[in-house]
Amino acid sequence: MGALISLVAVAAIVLLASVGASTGDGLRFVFGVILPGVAFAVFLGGIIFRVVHWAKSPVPFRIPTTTGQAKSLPWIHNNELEAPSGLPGVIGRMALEVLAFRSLFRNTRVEILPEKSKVNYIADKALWAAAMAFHWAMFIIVLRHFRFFVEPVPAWVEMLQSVDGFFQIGLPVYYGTTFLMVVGLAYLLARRFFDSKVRYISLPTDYFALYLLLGIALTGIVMRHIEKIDVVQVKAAIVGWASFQPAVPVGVGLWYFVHVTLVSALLIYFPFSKLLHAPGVFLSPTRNLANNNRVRRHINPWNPDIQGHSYAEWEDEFRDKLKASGYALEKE
Amino acid sequence: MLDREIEKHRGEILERWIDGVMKGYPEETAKFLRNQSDRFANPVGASLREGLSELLDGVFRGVEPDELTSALDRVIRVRAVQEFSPSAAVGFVFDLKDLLREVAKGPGADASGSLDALDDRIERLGLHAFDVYMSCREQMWSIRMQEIRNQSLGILERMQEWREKRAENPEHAPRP
Amino acid sequence: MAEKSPQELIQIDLTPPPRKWMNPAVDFEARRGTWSYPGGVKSLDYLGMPNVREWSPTDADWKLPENWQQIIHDGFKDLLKKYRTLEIFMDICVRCGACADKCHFFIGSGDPKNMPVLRAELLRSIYRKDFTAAGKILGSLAGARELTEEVLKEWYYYFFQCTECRRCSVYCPYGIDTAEITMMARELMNLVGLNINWIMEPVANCKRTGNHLGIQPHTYKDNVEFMCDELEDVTGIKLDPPINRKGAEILFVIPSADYFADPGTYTFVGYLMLFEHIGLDYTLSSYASDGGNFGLFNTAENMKKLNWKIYHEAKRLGVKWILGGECGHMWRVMHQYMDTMNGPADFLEVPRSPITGTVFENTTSTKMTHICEFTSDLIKHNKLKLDKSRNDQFRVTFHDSCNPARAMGFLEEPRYVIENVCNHFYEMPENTIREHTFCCAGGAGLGNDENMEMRMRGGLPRGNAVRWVRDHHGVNRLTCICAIDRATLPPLVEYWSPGVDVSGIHELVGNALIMEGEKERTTDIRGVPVQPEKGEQDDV
Repeated sequence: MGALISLVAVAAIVLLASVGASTGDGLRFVFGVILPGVAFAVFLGGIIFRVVHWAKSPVPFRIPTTTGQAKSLPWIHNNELEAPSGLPGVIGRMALEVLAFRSLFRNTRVEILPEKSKVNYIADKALWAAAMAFHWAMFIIVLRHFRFFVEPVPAWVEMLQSVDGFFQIGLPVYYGTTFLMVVGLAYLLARRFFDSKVRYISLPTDYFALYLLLGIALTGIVMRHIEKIDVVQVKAAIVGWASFQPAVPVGVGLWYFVHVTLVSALLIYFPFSKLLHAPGVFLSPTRNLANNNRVRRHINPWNPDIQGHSYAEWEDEFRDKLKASGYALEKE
Repeated sequence: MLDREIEKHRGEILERWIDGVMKGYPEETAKFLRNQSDRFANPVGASLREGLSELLDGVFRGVEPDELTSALDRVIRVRAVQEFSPSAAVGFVFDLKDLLREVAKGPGADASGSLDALDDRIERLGLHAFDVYMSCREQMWSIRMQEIRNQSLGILERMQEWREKRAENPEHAPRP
Repeated sequence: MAEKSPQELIQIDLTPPPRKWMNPAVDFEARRGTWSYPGGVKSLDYLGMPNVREWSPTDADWKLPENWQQIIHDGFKDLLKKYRTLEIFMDICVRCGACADKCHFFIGSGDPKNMPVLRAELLRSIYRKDFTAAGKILGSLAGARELTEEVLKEWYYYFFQCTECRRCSVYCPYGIDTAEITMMARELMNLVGLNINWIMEPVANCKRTGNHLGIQPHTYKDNVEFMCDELEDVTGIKLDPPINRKGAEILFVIPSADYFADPGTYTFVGYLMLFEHIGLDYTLSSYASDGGNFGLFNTAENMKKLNWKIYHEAKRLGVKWILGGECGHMWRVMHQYMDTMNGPADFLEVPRSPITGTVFENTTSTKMTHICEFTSDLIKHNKLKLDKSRNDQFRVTFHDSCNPARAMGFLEEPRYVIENVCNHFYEMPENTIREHTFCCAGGAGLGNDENMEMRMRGGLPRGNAVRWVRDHHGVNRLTCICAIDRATLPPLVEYWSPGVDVSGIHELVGNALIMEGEKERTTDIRGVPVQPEKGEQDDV
């Protein structure tokens, strides 16, 4: 049900963009210039607002989840990446988490080979692989898009393209990342449909984000490989937009507007949704703090000024019993 | 012999039996129970699979229910603490009767005699399943009683004796 | 077939109608054995808790204060201002499902709402409705729900079905920690007077007497003397541990179950034997008579209050540093909360072993060292006379307690001690130990008898792994470094893996220690005759 509602929502966006693009220059200006501008502003502003808001809220306790041996006695080998004792370890741990999805990688499955009476551990890593494929591919694709924003095209973008385009199957060059992104997204979506456990926990918004991303990827593919749109015109439109000299994009075709509108929708949606996991992961206190609790005192800014039940009160209450059992007392 | 005819379908019968039992769980759980093959990550699924497999063989071979206690226990021990009514917790045994009938419906098999014999075994197994279920429940209650007792008495009883001894024996008088 | 056979009827009876998780409904009457009794009025009044009343989860009317929704809304707002964890964990979950099958309660019960992600969604759905634009506008499409009485009842059911073990947070790509979420939910419920007696009575006891069990100082002394007398029968040595002694070098803090309930008592005498053996200058305290802290399972405020006595007593007695016994949640508090809440402990010195001279560099601020750190250092420096063979009747495995494993990174120290005091040590399967360890299902205040069915369900993954080493290596002793474990694992193994006993590590240390002037040991320190080792079982 939720899957359907979200599909309808994304379809509506596509329809809106198509209608807008084919109506006339006025709406083309709205969808090709104003909407992306607004979307970009909302995206940037929204994320900054969120992150600043998070960063301002206090971290009263230092509560890292340790996933390996902590630093203790000098002869016990500690695992800095799993239970960091200081900043370098934390940086390493966060890097692994953000770049390699370390925690998702932790899934293991045991297989027992009865004939050998042996226990084997198998990586159960489909989710990890799909997540890696999708996120990395998307990241590289976003970087590749820089070629539309600046003139001349920076050398690092050229290089990225040539590495990515290594998987050449005819012309124009097919990028490996395109394939990875679609496959990754398809798997993530399929899980929500077919893994009843994941289906049960999925909200309409979970499908929405996936549909949007898939829509963006597919319209991109259509433009590049099917419609083979005029890249020069596209670049002219985008460079103009990026240098604050916007004009109604010409000669770029319908799909361009659909693509740009979907991207705009994603950008607007981002700061109000779970997509915030991207900046959020950096601020997660169970991962980004060192496990050096007993070495450095962590300060709680709102530490309430309260005391417990004092020894004096305790002694007063049990004075007779304490005396009878021969305890030494503070006050006789 | 029909027995042998049916035994040929052992694999199918077992899978359908397991499936039927797993259907007793919420859908999103059943999938996990069925697919997670790691016996440590999925002990419920593993004990169902192993227990039912042993029980099925036992029924085919005409093993006395008593000797299948441990296999029954593997399955029922789990269900005895899960959210099942007693009838639901042991009802899976009787599922087998219908399953065998459906399989026996196959080509040219009129085998009511044989099926009756199997039915009889299954029914006796079902009755024994109640015994196993009750023993699990009783054990849980006794564990619970034991825990209440330990919490309130346990060491206190031992200490009481010790105090009495100390009172009688000046050597053990409380030290200042 | 037109008619339904009885078997089919059972099937239909069993299969729940497909229901989205957002519809709350818990039938407490039908689910007896899976929830805990509410906090008793006497304890709550003593603690000055809000909205105290007599009520039962099985009542239709929970006698909530009239403006309970407002109270929770305001409380939620307040917590969001105080805890970045809450904000982040509410905002960033993508429902990837990595945690779904990691919770011992889900694995053992099959109840989908025991998936950590859904446990958190119970709270998150209210957060969306009350505090996010998307939730306010889109409602259930964005996963938002109204806070109704039914939802609150569901909170009570499921947030007292989480043992705060943090296993799910190990697998979460964003480190979302359900323990933290459960703590927040419990804070909120507490505002409208929903809490459980197994937590509140210990908290009240602990405030008054210094320990959860409510043991008063004269009984404390009796208990200690009694255990020493029993030990004398075994070793021929009479110990006389100092209590509340000013000027001692070290204050030794333990969980109260260690001097009140078996098998913790044997761990306790193990500590005492160790201290006698090395001639340690220490003292026990009948005021700081519990390092454990059920405030952790109730509110941050109560946790701070109960923990406050530790430094207070250390200061009064004038000790140099603090040593802590084997306890899981106590060590979560000592490691991650104590210094922040009640420090700085600038009146203490950095812990230094008087026997080996080792300075415990990892405790320079808190000034509190774990007994396993202390003992493994002693063993490393050859300061203990140990006869491992005295533990030969035991085939030992080790259960990593949740808090030391996942909140301290405390994995190797206990293993080092075990390996040096016994000859037969076998690990349970890899994905059930260390940071992957399965909970005893009785932590965070859930180890009460009325909750026994749920404990057995949640205990299945642990019990199953114990059973594996029992069957494959003949394991008969399950060791742990947690007082809650020592109380909750015995019933767990009795049900799932009979024939295995539970003990702390320092019980094994006590067995192995060759004490000066001791008589020949014919029994272990439990008084159980030492059996000659049976033929080696084949290891597989």
